[in-house]
Amino acid sequence: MNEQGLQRLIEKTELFRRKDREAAAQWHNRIVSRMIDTAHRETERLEYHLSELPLSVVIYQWVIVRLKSRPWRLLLPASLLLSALFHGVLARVNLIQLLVR
Amino acid sequence: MQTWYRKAWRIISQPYAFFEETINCGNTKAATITFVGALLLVNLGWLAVTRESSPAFWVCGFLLPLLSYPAAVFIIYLICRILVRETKLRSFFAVWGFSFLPTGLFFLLNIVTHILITIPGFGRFPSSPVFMLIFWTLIILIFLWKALFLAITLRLAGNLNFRQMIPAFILLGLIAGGYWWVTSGLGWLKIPFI
Repeated sequence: MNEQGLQRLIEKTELFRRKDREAAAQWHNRIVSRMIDTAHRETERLEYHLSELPLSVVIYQWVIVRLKSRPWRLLLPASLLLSALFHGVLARVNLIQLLVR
Repeated sequence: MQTWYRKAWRIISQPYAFFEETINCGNTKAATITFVGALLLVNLGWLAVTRESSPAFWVCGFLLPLLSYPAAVFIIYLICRILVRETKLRSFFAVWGFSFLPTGLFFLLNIVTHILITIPGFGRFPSSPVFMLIFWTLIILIFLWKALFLAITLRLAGNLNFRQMIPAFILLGLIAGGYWWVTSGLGWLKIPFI
């Protein structure tokens, strides 16, 4: 924690010690609104960077993120789509003959 | 310490994080157990269905995959070694065994399909378009799943980036294709397995 953060914490502790609830609530609201502002600024910055990136990179990153966790969410629809698209080719493979011979 | 079913679930749900942790630990035991377990499951399942316990069955079904596993790991390592200098053989042994989970499921799927096909009263359902669509979807899903495991292995154990992965995939695909072609030509394996 930096010096500024420590100072804020001391302020907050002091307010609570004095049981000055109203001042403590104001302090809390101020901190929360500051955090929300920072989050908004960060989001805007990221959105700006995202819009600058080529579409291929965005799609690649999206696929990678999807595959890292619970990959079936992407793999299952993809395999269903491939199976439906290549249904004509796959139907020519005589599966029954392959399996029972 | 994670229980085996929690580990199995993590292999399925979070393969990237799980492979990363396993490589960092350098533990090859879990992957080897997965490989041997899948192999035994497949062989016993196939044995139960076909009741064919000839020496040729055990050589083709058990001994050949048992010997080809370290060979496959070594080939993947060698390709990564050519493309990138900094790789460890141990890392490949720590994770490649997990990729036999899809392989085991692929064989189980074949065994179940074999049973369904050979049941006399099952009718024409196995040759119906709906059955074919479900079957091929599952086959493609398992194939993509195995490819995902290979990609993660190349990325984490082999330290390859996306551009280096493409030639590695092509080379490994050619080697796997050649292996299928030779083994099916010799009559050792009936179907090109994943």
